[in-house]
Amino acid sequence: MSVTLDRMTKGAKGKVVSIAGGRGATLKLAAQGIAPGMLIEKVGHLRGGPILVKVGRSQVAIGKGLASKVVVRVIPE
Amino acid sequence: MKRILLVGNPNVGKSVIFSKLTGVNVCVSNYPGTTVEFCRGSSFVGKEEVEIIDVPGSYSLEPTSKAEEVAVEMLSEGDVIINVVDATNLERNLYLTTQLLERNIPLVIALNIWDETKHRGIEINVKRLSELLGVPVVPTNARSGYGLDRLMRSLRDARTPNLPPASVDERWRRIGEIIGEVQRIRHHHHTLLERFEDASIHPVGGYIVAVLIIGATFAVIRLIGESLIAYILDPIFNNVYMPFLLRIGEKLAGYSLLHDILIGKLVDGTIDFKESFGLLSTGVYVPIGMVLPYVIAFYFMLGLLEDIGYLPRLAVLLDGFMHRLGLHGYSIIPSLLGLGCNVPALLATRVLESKRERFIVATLISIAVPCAALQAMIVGLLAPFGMRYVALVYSILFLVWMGLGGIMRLFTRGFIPALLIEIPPYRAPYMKTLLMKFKGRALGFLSEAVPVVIIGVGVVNVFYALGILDQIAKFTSPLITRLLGLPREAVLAVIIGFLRKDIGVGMLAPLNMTVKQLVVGCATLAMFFPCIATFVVLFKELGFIHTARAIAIMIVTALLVGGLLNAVLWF
Ligand SMILES: Nc1nc2c(ncn2[C@@H]2O[C@H](COP(=O)(O)OP(=O)(O)O)[C@@H](O)[C@H]2O)c(=O)[nH]1
Repeated sequence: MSVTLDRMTKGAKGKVVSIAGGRGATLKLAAQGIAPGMLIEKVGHLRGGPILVKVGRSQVAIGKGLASKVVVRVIPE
Repeated sequence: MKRILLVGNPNVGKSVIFSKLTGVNVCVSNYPGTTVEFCRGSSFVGKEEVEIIDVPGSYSLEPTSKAEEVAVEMLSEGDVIINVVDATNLERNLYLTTQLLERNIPLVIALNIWDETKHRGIEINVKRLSELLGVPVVPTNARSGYGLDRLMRSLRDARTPNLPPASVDERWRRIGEIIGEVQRIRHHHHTLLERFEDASIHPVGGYIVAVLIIGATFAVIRLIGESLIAYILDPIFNNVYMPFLLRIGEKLAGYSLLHDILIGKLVDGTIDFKESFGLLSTGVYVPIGMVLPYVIAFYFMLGLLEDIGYLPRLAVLLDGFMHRLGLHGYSIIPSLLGLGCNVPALLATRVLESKRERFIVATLISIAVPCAALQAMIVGLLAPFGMRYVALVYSILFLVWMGLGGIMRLFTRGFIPALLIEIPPYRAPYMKTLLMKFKGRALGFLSEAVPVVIIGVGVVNVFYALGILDQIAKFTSPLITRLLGLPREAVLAVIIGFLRKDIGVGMLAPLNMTVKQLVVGCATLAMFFPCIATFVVLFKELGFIHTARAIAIMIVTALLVGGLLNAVLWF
């Protein structure tokens, strides 16, 4: 099942499928490890604000708008 | 001389390595044509002297910010690269490494923060990593100095593997393969620190932690500032500087104009540092005796929060809220800086990506964020009547900050750039680099703000002596007396507020005003025209048209809010 990062449930893990954004957004996300093929885990969601994601050993906060451009295939538990 | 570049992601320990290798302890220099800061120093490899440059931290060589652009540009000027890598977060760090390896510069890798891998349950096969990447890899602990000698010796073996340029996906695939082969992670129990890391960004707990941390920070700032004044500065000013000034005053006895300009008026037969208003008395005392201690305390605490890794968390927590002001979470950092001095705060707005955002943040800072000097005056003036009046003025400024941000968001065009930041693990601060950054900032304040204050006081004194101030006062007094309900003499305070807000506010002191008048006066003056130093920087940052806009917004807001306060306050 594919969803955008902002719609993913908290605690779910998944593989990034694609980035539905421009070149700038794609490169910025890639530098933080959010690129097609990467395994990520959504660890939190602040009200009205950013989404917290674990990539490898680092934690990244992504604004809601940008998160809605990241398409993830959720790995069932 | 050979030039060695320290390159790496932000927060990997580059500054610590830099200070250990070079021994340099103040190092803020700007890259030509920009305000991106970097450090430069020298060291020895064997007997050969080399230049070492600490390149601004960067996640990738496809630059997405000014600092990263500078980092990329600097690469072409180096002979060897030391790529500093965080061993506790190898995967993400290797993205920059793979890009560096596609370039034609010899490279070695410092596998830093090596000491923390053990208790975080990470095992890295260093030898294999070095083989796979084709360059020397040296484990280091910058804080203790472990491995740094070996690192410098390994420079002889620096290589250029010349990887073919790859796409984003290919790079990450390669990194995945490398990580799979060299890194093993044992499961380990969460440490107390890791629990706190989670708590401080929790959707509920995070805000509680934030309130506690900010509250504690300001309490400590006050404590440090007040102690510096009581035990160091006041004794120096009263026991050493005062007799010196009085002697100069005697020498100037025959020249009353010069005496007025340099020493100012005597209060009860002696110099009053706050009220005499001479170039050498008030002009020196206010920036150094009253403001500097708080600026010092403020920068020290801010540096501490920065070094520990708290600030990104604050930015993330506040992102949702800041969106209502047309901003994203990161703009809280320049705004916080403004509570020390507006000048560095405005300079810090350069890290923000969009023009619109810079305009909103800069305007809000210069109107509604009171600097340390101003705050000291407001507290000094209102606290004797009760802390609730001080709280009232702070609340008014906060509401203006929020309201004005909301309005500006509606009336400016553009989008809010998306937030994307790494949340680093907490680290114990390292005093040496902390002091290094702190010294740079404090010296910056001394060299930028102090001369302007002295010039400001000088200009006012000359205007005053020539009677120009009286003319302006006559012209604008209806506005002040009718709209704001302040006494006629307050006009002078407003005008001097053009040069130094804090001194302007301070000048309200001898006017025998009611509490209500003081509250209105403090709030209005705080919002009014920025001090001249801020004004100059605002102009440099925003250009003529936007500065004019910011000033228009400022005047309208100050008069509107001041008039409103005068109308509605009931005490
Ligand atoms: N445990 C540990 N901490 C380190 C080491 N090197 C740096 N640090 C800490 O990591 C944080 C970031 O270091 P800094 O030099 O400011 O990073 P920079 O942004 O790369 O210049 C600071 O709190 C340092 O004290 C190390 O080898 N071991």
